[in-house]
Amino acid sequence: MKKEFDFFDREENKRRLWIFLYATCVFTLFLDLIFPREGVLGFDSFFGFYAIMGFISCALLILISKLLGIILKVDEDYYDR
Amino acid sequence: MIDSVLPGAILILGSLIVPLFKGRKKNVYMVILPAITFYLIWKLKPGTYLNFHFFGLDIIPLRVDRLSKVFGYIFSLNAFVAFIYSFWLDDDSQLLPALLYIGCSLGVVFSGDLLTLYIFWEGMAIFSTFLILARKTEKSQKAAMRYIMVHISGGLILLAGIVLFIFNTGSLVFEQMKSSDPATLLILIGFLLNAAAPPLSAWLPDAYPESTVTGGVILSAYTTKTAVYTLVRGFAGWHILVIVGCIMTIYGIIYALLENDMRRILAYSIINQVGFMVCGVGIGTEIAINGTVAHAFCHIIYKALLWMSAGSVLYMTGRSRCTDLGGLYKTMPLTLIFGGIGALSISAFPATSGFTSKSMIIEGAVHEHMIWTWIVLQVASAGVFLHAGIKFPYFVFFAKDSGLRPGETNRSMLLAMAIMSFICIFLGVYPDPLYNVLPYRVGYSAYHLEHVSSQLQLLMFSALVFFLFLPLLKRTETISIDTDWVYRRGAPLFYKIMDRGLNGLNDLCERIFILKMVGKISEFFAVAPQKIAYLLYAPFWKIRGKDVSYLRGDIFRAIDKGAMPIGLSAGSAIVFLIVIYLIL
Repeated sequence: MKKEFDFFDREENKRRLWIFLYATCVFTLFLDLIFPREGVLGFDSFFGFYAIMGFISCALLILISKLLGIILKVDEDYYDR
Repeated sequence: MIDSVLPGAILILGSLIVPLFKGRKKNVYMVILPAITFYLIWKLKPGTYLNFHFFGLDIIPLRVDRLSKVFGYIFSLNAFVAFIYSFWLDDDSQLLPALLYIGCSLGVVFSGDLLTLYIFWEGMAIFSTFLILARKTEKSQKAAMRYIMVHISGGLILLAGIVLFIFNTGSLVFEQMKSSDPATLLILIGFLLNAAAPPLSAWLPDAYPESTVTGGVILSAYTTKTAVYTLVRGFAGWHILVIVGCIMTIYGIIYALLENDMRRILAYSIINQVGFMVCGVGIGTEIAINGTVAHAFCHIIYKALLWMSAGSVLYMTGRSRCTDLGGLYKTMPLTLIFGGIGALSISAFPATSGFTSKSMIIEGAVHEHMIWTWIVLQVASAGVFLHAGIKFPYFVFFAKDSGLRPGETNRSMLLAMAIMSFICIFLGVYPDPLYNVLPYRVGYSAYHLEHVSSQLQLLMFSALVFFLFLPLLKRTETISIDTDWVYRRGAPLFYKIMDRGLNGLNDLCERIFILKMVGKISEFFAVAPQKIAYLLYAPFWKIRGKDVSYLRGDIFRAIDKGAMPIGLSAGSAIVFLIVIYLIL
């Protein structure tokens, strides 16, 4: 029997992917260092602005949706009852 | 002749002979029709008008300009690929309405007056419903019913606006709306309902996920994007649309994050993406309008691609809930790759079509120094990667091993996805063919180092947040309450309250008035003359010293038989008149 392709299930690969993710994030910050940004609106010119923007906005979106989920989430048969 | 054919007519008339074809020939025919349509649109010259007079009003079934042409291209192109996707399908109940629906949407885009637009608009609502009904499940029947009811209501609002518009201006020509009065506002509401702007948005995530595998691919493109077209045509630069658009982008993300069903995630992501476009319309400058149109163009392609990959998964596994799926990368790698390209495109990753189109809208906000709009759009851009870019592929193809080993989907579906993936990357790397057909000629390039690096930074840190917050994003077997609560739970509740309230009142009235009072009144009228006569005469009788009890029997008998002495009658009449006189 052909062995199943299970690359993403293996623990060592998962660890590698995490390292890859962190490395890419650092790399994008590194780009800021080599090519200082003028910024389109002025205030977005400082180092790592878009990193902070991406991080904070996504974290907020997840937290807000999590909080709203407490009120908004209902069982799947909610409308059939 | 060829330069004044209605593009929609090819599909609408062409659909009539679909049932005559059997087997593969039918599917080949379905693919050829949009190809012919695309060619005809290509040949149409901007500035072509076809108009005639109708009760003193100008009816313009064909108006060709750069704006209508670019929407015509993408509508026919998407139809072409969608029918390749459904090449395996031999079901007239889906194929026929699909052609009619797409034909009507082309009719809307090429109509130059509001009446023609309205007719095709309603046609779209009706024929699209069949794509939901064709799923033939109880849930889809109910969803289709709600869908058509919402769209008929929206159509009526639009019609009311159009009637008022004729009354105000004496014209039917559909151009940029100048004043904001009840007529234009009603028309705007009608358009915004189809654009799925909250709170008029719940029909979309309610109905689309219940449609068939191919139905979802087709539906995702036309209704909302014809609405975007009408907004560009009629409401460019209306500032309220900036606010509506910003709300849509965030609303779409938050609900998509809450959702469990993969096609429902994609449905909410349509609202999010259309939000960018509505915002662009609101900004209204040449670059923002170009961005809106370019984004609509690219969005149709990558969104269809995402719906195709989700459709393939649904087709192969019969499941669409994230909690039931996972680990499909093992057996559906091609679907994963194509879906992944769609996911990267919607997230506006550099080298994909989203990057070259969406950034133009954001650039429009920069040009106008709309800082808050810019911030919201950036937050939403980051959020798109979160919900559609990573969440959808992650929970369907990775996350956990669901034990499902479906295997790759059929070849026609894979081919269609490959074509769409190619276009996504092609327009991402070389967007000039698209830029050349946009409504305005604006020199714009998305590729400069600063833009690429800032976009990469934004997206990679969004990805980081997704995986760091993964425990918070665990899927639950739930749905989320949206504004459809109003008519799904609110309306029955309202009915119950009205039922209890009004029927209770009815009951009470029956008991008091019908059962009790009628008896009393008829009794009163039956004995009133006797009683009045008795009451009037008794005092006189007493004065004369006669027996009153004898009088009572006497008067009652006399009135019953109609044998009152004339003097007595005349006397009582006079007394009665005096009483009336005194009262009055």
